[in-house]
This record gives sequence, C-alpha cells and structure tokens, in this order.
Amino acid sequence: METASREVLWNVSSQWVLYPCLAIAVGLCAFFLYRRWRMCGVGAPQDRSGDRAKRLLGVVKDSLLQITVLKDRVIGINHVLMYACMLVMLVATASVALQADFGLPIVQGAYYLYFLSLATDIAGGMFCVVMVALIVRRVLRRNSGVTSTWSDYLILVLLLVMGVTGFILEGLRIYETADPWAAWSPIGNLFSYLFVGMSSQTALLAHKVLWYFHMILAFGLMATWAYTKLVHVFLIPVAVYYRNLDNPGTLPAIDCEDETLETFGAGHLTDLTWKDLLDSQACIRCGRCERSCPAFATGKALSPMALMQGIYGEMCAYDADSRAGAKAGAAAGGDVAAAGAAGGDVAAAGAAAGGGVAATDAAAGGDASPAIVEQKPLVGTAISADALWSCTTCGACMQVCPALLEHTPKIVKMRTFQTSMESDFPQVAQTAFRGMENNGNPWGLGWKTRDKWTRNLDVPVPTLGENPDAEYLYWPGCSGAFDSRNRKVTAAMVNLLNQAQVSWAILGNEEKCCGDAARRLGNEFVYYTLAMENIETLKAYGVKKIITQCPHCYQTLTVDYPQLGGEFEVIHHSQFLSDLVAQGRLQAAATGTCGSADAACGSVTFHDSCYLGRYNHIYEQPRDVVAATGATLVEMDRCREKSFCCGAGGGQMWLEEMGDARINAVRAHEALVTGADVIAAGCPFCLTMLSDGVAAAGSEVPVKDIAELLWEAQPSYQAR
Amino acid sequence: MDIAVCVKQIIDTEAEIELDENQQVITDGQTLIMDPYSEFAVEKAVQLKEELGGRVVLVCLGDEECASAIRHGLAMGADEAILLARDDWRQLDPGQKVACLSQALSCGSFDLIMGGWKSGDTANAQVMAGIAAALQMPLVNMATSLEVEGSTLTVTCEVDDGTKVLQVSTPAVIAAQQGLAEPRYPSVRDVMQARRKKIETRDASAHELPAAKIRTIRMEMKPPRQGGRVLEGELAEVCAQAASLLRREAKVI
Repeated sequence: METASREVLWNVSSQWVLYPCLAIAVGLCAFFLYRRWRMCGVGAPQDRSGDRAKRLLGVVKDSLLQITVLKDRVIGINHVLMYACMLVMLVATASVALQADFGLPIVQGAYYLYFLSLATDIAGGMFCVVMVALIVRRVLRRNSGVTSTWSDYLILVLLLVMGVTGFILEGLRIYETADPWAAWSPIGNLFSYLFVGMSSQTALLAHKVLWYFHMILAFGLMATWAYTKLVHVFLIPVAVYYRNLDNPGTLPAIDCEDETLETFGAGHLTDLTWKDLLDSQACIRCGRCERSCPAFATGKALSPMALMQGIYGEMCAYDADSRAGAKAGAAAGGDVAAAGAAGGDVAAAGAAAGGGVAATDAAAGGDASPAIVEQKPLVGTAISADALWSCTTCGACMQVCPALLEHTPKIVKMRTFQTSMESDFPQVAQTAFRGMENNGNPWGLGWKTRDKWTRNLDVPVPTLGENPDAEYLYWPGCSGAFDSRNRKVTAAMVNLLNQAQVSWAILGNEEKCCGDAARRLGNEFVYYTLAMENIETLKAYGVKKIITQCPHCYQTLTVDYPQLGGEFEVIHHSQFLSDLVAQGRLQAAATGTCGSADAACGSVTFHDSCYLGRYNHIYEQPRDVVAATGATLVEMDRCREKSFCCGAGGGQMWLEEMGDARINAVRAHEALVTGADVIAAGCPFCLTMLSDGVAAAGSEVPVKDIAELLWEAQPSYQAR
Repeated sequence: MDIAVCVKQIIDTEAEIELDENQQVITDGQTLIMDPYSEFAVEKAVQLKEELGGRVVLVCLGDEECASAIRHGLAMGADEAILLARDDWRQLDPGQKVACLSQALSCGSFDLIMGGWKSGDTANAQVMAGIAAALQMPLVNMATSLEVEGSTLTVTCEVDDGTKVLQVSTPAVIAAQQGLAEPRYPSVRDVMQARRKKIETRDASAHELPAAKIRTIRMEMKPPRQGGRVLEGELAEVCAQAASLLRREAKVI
C-alpha cells in the first residue's frame, strides 16, 4: 500500500508572498512586545532573580499545565481544551512548514495519519466547539459577572472563523483530490460532502481564495497577538516566572531611620515596581479575584481586577504622555542647544513642576531630551480611596489568580503612601494609630495595664524578668491582653501551658503591639517604632521561641520582623497545642466522644483565618486541636485556602465598614448553615467578628478559640 | 496672622496614674503627650495660618522632656517653638505659670494667643485666663469654633446648657474646648520636616516669680470602680429593691 500523505500546499501558488507577510507579522508582534516591555521599564527596581529552578517549575505547573486555571472547573476545562487544541494545531502547522520550507519529509506515514490528520482534526473540531461555547457564555452572561468588550468577542469570533475556514479548506481539498486517506480526517471529510457536485474549477478557485483569507487571518492574529489580550500567552508565563516566592504578605522593607528616604510606599506610577506594572499587563480580566473578594462580595468599592486594570490604564496614559513629552522635549532641546543651554532648563522646569514625580525616559536614546511627565496620584485614578481602604488583605484574590499576580501588596504600598506621606486615611484609624504610638496597643489603653489580665487568674503568670530561663515566650498580643473576650482565650492558654508543664513566661508590660494593623494601614513609622522596640526587648532577654495566639502577630513576627533583624522561632498556638497533644502532654479525646462540660460541642466548624491559612499554610494543626477535643469537625463550603475573611484583617478591625452588607455577617452565616454546635477560630479578630456576626444573626451558637475548646476538654478542667 | 499657642505636656490620658510617697504623680516610665486641649488649639491655629498666612509659634513651659510634645506641634504645622525651661515647672502654681508664659508672650506681637481652656492633668483652667489678664487682652473661654475676618473674631463658646457666639477684636486670647478643631495626624514628611525646625530654649529658671498663692495639701487616687450589681427577679420586685438600695446604700434618693 502507498505511504499515507498529502501534497503540501496543494493548489497554492505564489507562496513566496507568505515570507514577507510572516516577517511583517512577527515584526509587529515584536514591536508590541517591546512597547509593553518599555511600559514596565518605568517601574521601580525589584529583585526577582534567583531560585531559577523553582521559578521554572512554577512556569511548568501554572503556565504549561495550567493547574491554577483548572481550579475553576468549568471555565478552566474550557480554557485548557482551547489551549491544548491550539498546541496540537500549532505543531501540525509547524510540521507542514518544516516539510515545505526545509524539505523534511514528515507529512507522511503514521505521523501523518494519526497526528496530522486524525488528532489535528479532532483538536480543530473541539477548538471550534469551545469557541462557540465561550461566545455563547459571554452572550448569555453566564460568565459570573465578567464584563465583555467588543474585542473579547472579536477575538473569539476570529479564532472560530480560523477553525471553520480550516475545515472548509480541508473539505475542498479532500473533495477535489478524492483523498484516499479522507477517513482519517473525519471532520474535514464531513465538510467535503458539502461540495459534492461543485465543478473542479470552482472548487479550486474557492480553495485558493479561502486559503489566502485563512492566511491573512492567521498573520493578522499573529501581528496583533501582543497588542490584544492574547498577549497573556506571553506575559502570564513571565509573570509566573517572576512571581513572589516569599510569603504572600511580604512588604518592602522600609528603614524609617534613613533620612535620605524621600517617599514611602507607592503614590505614583513610577513608585510601583516593574513587576507591579507587569502584573497589570498580565491580568486577563478573568474576574476570579473579584468573585473571591470579601469586600467586593459585600458591595464595597474594591475589585482587585479593577485595581489591576486601573494601574494598566495609568501606565498606558503615562507612556503616551512621556512619548509626547519626549517629542516635545526633542524639539525644545534643539532650540535650547542652539541657545547654548541644553538639558538643564528642561530638568529645572521639571523640578519646578513639583507635586508630581519627575521621571526620565531613558529609552529615548539620545534623540530626545529626558521627558518629564507630571504624574497623577494613583489614588483617585488607578483606584478610588474607598476601594483602597476596604481591602482586608485577606489574600483570596492572590490565591485564585491563575497568573499568580500580587494584588494586596500593591494596595498596602499605596496605603503606605497615603498614610505616611499624605496623612490621608480614614479618620477613625487615628485613634488606633495614636493608641499604638502612645500606649503600644490599638485601643490606646494605658500600657501599664497590659498585664492586668494576669491579676484575676488563680495561677501565677511569670514574666521573663521573673523567669529568665523560660524556654518559650508566650505572646498573648494586644487582643489577648486587653480584650475581655479574648482574655478568656489567654486564660485557657495559661492553663494548657501549665498542664503540659511547658517552661514559659510572658513579657508583661514590656510587650507592645506587633504593629500589624499599623503597617497594613500604611503607617510604617508607627510599625517601625513598635517593631524595633519589641525586637530590642526580645533580644535583650535572649528570646528564641515565641508562642502567639494571633495569626497577625504570627505573620508580623515571622515575616516582617526578620526584615528589621528580629529572627525568632515563632509558633502559632494551634501548632504548639497540636504538638502537645501529639506528644501526649495534653489529653486527647477520641473523636465523637466530646467530653466537654459544655453540652453543645458535638460538632465544630473551624474558620480558617487568612493569615494562618492562606498566608502561612497552617490548615491541619487547628483541625487536629479541634479533633483532640473529641468533637466532630464539619467544614464550611469555603474552607482552607478558599476560606472567606472575617472582615477584620488589614487593619479593618480599626476602621468602619462601609455600606450595609457586613463581611462578618456573610461568614457567620456560612458557619451557621453547617449546623455545627460550636464555631471555632484560631484568631482573636476572627473570634470577635464571628461572635458579632452570629449574634447579629440572632443565633446563640458559641464562637470559641481552639485553645478554649481544648482546655474545656481536659479532665482537669472538667474536674473543677 | 501671627498666633502664639501655649502648649503643655501631660501624662497620656489613658495611663494608670501612681503617686510616690510624697503624693507626687510619678512621671517616670509614663508616656508623655501633648495635652489634648493644647492640641485643639494648635490645630485651629495651623488651620488659620494655612487659610490666612502668618506664623504659628508654640510656647511651652516645661523641661527638656517636653521636646516630644513640642515636636508633635511642629509636625502638625507650627513654625517655631519656644521652650521656657524650668525644672520645677510641675510644682509652679497657676499664677506663677502665668507670669512665666505672659512675659514670653508679651515679647512677640501676636494677633492671637491660644491654648487649651484647661489641661488634662491638673485641670485648673486658670492659665489662659491669667494670661489674658496679665496682657490685658479679652479672653474667650471654651471656644468650640473660631472664624476670622480681618481683625474681627467670631467665636462660639460653650456655656451651661448651650453655646453663645461672641465677637471680639484682635489681639485676644482664645481658650480651646474640644470641638474647636479635629487634630490632624502628621505624616512622615511632616515629622521629618519638624525635626529641622528649631526649638528655641530659654532658661526661665532665673525668672522672678510671684509667690505661689495656691498650695496643694494632699492628693489621693480615686478609689477603683466597683463592679455593678445585677438585680434579678420580677420587674416590680426588682424596682422596689433598686429604690430601696438607692435610698439606703447609695443615699441618693
């Protein structure tokens, strides 16, 4: 039998014209890419080199295999199908090109039959089906509120037309050549029946015309690839490669004692880093961040996607302005040079412009003087103040982003500018700031009253001053020390530590607020002061291990303090307690035997705090602690990395929530519908917010910290 | 408009106050802040300066430790500061403080002299009135709003059961009550700039003072607040019980 094959470029003449077309298409694509690169270039430096293997692995996982894309099942599968089909068709086209242009005889045999014919045919068919599905999804608004622009439709339609014309071409070829291998191209073969009875002349002409049409479309798409949103194919792998490998809550370190520092945070476009700007270009507007955002869900002004798009818009405007400025500068520069005072005046004029930040366009490459563009403040253009201040920094947006973009650090950086440089923040935060400044706690209660909680306990609470050899420093945090509800958690912790015979002590009145709320509300100065004082105290006592019961303290002490030279082993109480249970130093009850004196603890639902779960991946230990109480764990729909914020993070505890819908009410409802007897948390803010939410819902389901549950499950508690 | 603002440093209003064996308030280890009433005055003065031009000069009777309160005022937008340094400033009686401050204030030609109507710690409410008397200027006390038109000041001040609106010409002394202005929170930029502003320290220890007219005999801490008592039972019964307790134990009815 004859070797299976087909004539490459059958019926097509003057194919030389494709080469200049290809060159133009590739050239345009490269130009648009360069333009995007240039736009990112105005960003501030940021080191994202190093760990190449890990970075590349991420690209394989999240760009090639699209693992995060698939986490949204329906659209994820559609996207991966489209991507895989396109890859197959790309390889097929490349194979044909290899034979046509380089004489490699590969369009034949089994490869031809199984891959180039059958697999490509099926891929093309599926591709068209997916395109239709995606168009229908947008038309019928079945896309979870994602807005569609005309270009979104145009791209889908063009890709569909590409696919369909491909099949028509194949059908014409099969019909006209009476291809003996037609059965291996089932869809193309079906199309060939459309042309039965068509004269050979007409078929050949139609084929030729359509072939060129197909090619023009292909080159057009290629040329504009980096101009349209299709550029995400290039940019997302780059964004994934340069992703943040550190804790997602890592903020740029600011040395407040550095007198040369002119600005804190990001007030203008060029204060953002190149990666921030790259992120804004890589955002494909899929809307997953928006759908997971607690602020957006409760009708606040914030949308993480709109933030990315807002920065993108400002970046484009800035680029256009500096282009125009460079041109004007070149013209003016010539005149000035003639007058014998080149450059200097332009720079002086820019400096005199004041307010805005002057930036030079180095890429102008000598033919133009540095362009000086007055920048608009980011707040009010890229993002509204209301949106900026409604973020809880819960990190849900970053968790779901298929491009692994970094939303919340941008928000915090902008807050830093607003608060530290402009003193422009919600008025209510001032009380918290002053409290932290004057008394080392956001409530502003007298700092000498911090250890008041120890006075009503029936057991002694040693300070490090009294017990300098203690192995662990117990850090109750401001809530644990000052808030009456959370003091009960602290008391439970004290009992548990004593029962497990842990060698521990507290700092007492020497402890100060960790500074989390100050930093995430943009007050770097207060954060810095608090952090430096705490670090100094901790170092003076030679503290090595710290137990916290607040995930915010945990995050600040583990992620923020090392930036200032404070390196300690920090353990969240959920980790510590689960270890004590595992070691047998605390009693564990068998599941389902819930032995608490509280009748109502048969089933417990655990609320994952953002800074415990998403930021620090502590999911199992608190559940282990709950299980050790003998309770049965029931999960909320949104749990673990999908957990929904209580509404207090990012300093929201100290602000007033805008609008009618409350984040804590939404979460309390989610907890209540599980029907659990007890709602458990591992964070003082979550405890407060959920308690309020449950009370507002008219429910009496108790909300408790895991330490309280574990203590109540101890025989020594029940024997009391 | 040139405005002098008398500022006082006090122990943080939320601090737990302790007395030493001589019944003096222990300041060691306490957070020291600008008195909130002084702060209302500074804020209003800075707002007027921003609106009308001129300068704001802080005048503080105190010691080197008061620098942080003064810096705070400078960060809020005051232009200059004078520290009248006396180590015994806490022990002076209001008349003596008035003598110190008014002498310094009489040297400058200020359109307006402002300050808190009382301070958060000693709460004597005498100094601003004393300064007005010493400098023979009108005093508007407990001001909750202040508007300036030329040399005419329109001031709202608090009186029992209401407010009254007064008109007065400069120069005058305005004593600030809460509500006059919401103090701003200085930005890092403001704080940095304040570091470069000069605090002029004048040695006031040699200043001849009148004899103290008020002598503190004794200071006592308030007894700690007792927890409330919850009465339970039928409404009528509880009401009767409450009434009898109010009459016999609390002796208020």
